[in-house]
Amino acid sequence: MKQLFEIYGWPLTTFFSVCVALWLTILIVAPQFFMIELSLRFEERGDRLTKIVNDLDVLYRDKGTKEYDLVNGPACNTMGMVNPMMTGDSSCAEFGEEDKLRLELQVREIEDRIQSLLVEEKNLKEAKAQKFPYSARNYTAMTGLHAWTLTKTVAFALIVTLIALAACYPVAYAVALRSGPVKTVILFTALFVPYAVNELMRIYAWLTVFDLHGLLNTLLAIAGFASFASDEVIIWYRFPGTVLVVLVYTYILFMVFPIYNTMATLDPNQVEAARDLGAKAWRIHWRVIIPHTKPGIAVGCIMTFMLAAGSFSVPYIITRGLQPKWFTQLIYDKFFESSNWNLGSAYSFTLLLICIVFIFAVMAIFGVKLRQLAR
Amino acid sequence: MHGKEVVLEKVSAKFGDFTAVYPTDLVVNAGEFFSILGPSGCGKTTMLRMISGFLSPAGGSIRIGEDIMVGVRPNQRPTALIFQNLALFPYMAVWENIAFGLEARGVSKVERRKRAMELVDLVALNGEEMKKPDELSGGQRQRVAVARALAVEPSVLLLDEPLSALDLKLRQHMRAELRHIQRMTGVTFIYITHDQGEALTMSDRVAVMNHGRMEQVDTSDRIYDRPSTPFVASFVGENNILRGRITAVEDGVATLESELGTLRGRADAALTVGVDAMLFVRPEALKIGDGSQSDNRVAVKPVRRDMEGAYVNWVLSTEEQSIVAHMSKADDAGIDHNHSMHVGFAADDAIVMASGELADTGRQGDEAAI
Repeated sequence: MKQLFEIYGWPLTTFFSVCVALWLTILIVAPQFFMIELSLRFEERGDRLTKIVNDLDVLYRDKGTKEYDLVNGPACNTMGMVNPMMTGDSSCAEFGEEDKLRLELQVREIEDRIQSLLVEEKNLKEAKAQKFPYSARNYTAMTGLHAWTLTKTVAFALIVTLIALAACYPVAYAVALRSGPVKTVILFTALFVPYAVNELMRIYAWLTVFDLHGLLNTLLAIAGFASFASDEVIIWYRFPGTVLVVLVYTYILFMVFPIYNTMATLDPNQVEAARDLGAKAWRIHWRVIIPHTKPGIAVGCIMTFMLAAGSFSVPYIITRGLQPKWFTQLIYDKFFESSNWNLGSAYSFTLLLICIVFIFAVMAIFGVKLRQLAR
Repeated sequence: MHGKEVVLEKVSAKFGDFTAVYPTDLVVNAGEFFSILGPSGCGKTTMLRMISGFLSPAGGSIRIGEDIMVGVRPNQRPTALIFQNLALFPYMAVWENIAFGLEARGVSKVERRKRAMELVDLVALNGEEMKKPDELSGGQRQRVAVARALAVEPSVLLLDEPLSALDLKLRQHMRAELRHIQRMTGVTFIYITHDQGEALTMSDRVAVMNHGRMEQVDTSDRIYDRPSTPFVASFVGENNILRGRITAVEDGVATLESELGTLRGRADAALTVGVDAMLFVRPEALKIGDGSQSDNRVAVKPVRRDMEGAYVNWVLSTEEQSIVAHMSKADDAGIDHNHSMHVGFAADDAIVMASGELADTGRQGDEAAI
C-alpha cells in the first residue's frame, strides 16, 4: 500500500482504493450477504398467514366488483364479452331495487370478513415477529426429486471435466512443445477464434447438428438409416448425451488454456534428459510432465467443473424441454417461477458449497497449494 | 564402468542452408577426458547433440565402441548427457533423480535405492538424498546431475558446459571434482565449453572448434605452446600479435619484416617467403629491459603497470600497437623506468603463421588471467 502511494501519489491511490472498495461492497459482498440472509429465512407457503393474505386479496377484489356493480348495474355477460357496446342492452337482465339491496348486503358481509381477517393477520404477524426468524429449513427442504437432479448435475459436471481433461492434455502438449508458425496457426484457429465467439452462438450452433432436420439426421438419411418422408428420424434432444457433448465443447477452452500455459513453461531439457536416461513416453509424462503441469490441470478441472455444474444456457437451449431439468434450471424456477427467493438462494448456496468442496478435493488430489494456483 | 572410444568419420551437420559442422574426423579414446573448446556458435553443442543422438548428422557416421550409431536413439546409446542447466527433475528427491535412469529400466525400488546411495556416496552428497534439487547449492546440484548420468552406467558421458552457472570458486573446485570422478570411473568424458581454463585444466586432450571446423586437436600443453592456427593462438591464452611479411625461412625459423623491425620466430608449418604473416608471442615470454641479449628487440613506451599479485601486467605501446608483458616480481623490480624501454623475446618463444582469422579477443584477457 505504501508502495502504491509512492508510485501513483495519494489522490489516484485513494481514488482507486475507494473504487475497489465500492465495487467489492456493492457487487460482491452486499448481494452475497443479502442472498445468505434470504436463504436462512424460511417462508411457510401453506400456513394460516399465507392463506389470510390470499383470502384478503380475493375479498378486496370481490368487494370492488360488487361496489362497481352497485353504481353502474351488473355487466351483461354474454359469450365472455363484458362490454355492453358490443352485446347491446337487449340481452341484459333488469336491475331493480331488490337486486341493489341484495348487493349492499353482500358488500357488508365481505367488509365484516375483511375486518376479522385483518385482526387475525395482525396478531399472526406480531407473533411471527416475536419468533427468531432464521433457520436452516431452506437447506433441508430439498425434495428427493430435486436432490436427485442435483446429484445428476454434479455427476454430469464431473464427467464433462474428465472428458475435457482427456481431450485437452494431448492438445496442450502438442501445442506447448511446438514452436514457430505451426504453433501460431494452431493456437489461433483452434483456441483464440472460438474463444472470441459468443458462448450462446457456440451453443446455438449445435442446434443445427441435433435438430430434427439437422446435420445428424440428414447424414443418417443419406446413409439410409432415417427418413424425413415417413418421420423416421431420431429426436436427439431426448438424449442426455447431447448436453454432455455441448458442455464439453463450450467449456473445453477453460481446460486447454491453464494446461497449455503451465506446460509451456516446462524446460524441454527435462524431457530430453528423461528420454536420454531411457524413460519411455508414458513415464516421461507421469514423472516429469504431469508433476510440472499439475497446477494447470487443477485450475482447468476446477474451472470446467464449476462452469459445467453452473451452466444454465446449455441445458436450457439444448434440451428444449425434452429432458429432465438441470439443477440450475430448478434454481431459476425457484426465483422466477415460484417467486421463492429464499429457497432459490438456499439451492444456489448448496451448489456453491459442492463446488467449493470440489475445489478442495482437486487441490488435495493434485497436492496443489492455493499459492501455486494463484500463479 | 568402462569407457568406450568415440569415432567420428566425416560427420557434418546442417540447419537448412547453414552448415553448423563441416565434415569432421575425430577419435576420442576410451577412458579419455576430452574437451571441445570454442566460442559460442562454433558448432560444439551441435557436435555433442549428434553424439548423444538428439540430432542426426547430415553426413558421415559415428561409432561408439564397436557399434555404429546410425538410427540409434538417445536412450539406446551407451551415452549419458549432462545438460547446461542440468535439467534436474524438481519434483523428485535427490535419490529419485539419481535413480531415474534405473527406474526407467525397471529396476526394483530396493535395488534402485541401493544403487542411488552408492552414487550419493561417490559424489559426496550423503545426508542430502531426501532433499529436492532446489534445496541444494549450485555445486551440489551439479553433483546430482553427474550422479544421475552415471547411474545408467554409460560408457561415454557428455557434458554441455555444466559449470557455466557456478561462481568462480565453485567452478574451480568442481573442475577438480569432475576430473576425480572421471579417473575413478574410467568413463569417457566429452566436455563442451567456451571456457579455456576449464578445458585446459581438466582434459587429456582438447579440440578447438571455430565455424564448424576443428582447428586443432591436441593435449592442453601443445594447444597452449604449439597452436597450429592463428585462431587457436589468439583464442587460447593471451598472445601479442605482431604482423609483417616473411622474408626468409630456414631451419624452422622464419624471419619477418615488420614495422617494428625484423622479427624472428619458429615456423612450425611450411611458410612461403613473401606472404603476410603473424607472429604470436605470449606476454610471459617478453622481457622488459634493453633487449640486447634477445633474438628480437622492440622499442616500447610504458602505458600502464597493473599489479596482478603473482606477476605484474605491463601494458606497453609501440608506434603501431600495444603490447602486453607479464613480469615476475623479481624481474619487475629490475626495470629502469626512466630510460627508453625495449621488450625482447627469444625466437623459440614466438610462433610465426600465415595470416588468418583471429578469435574475437574482447574477453580473452580476463579469461587468461583466471
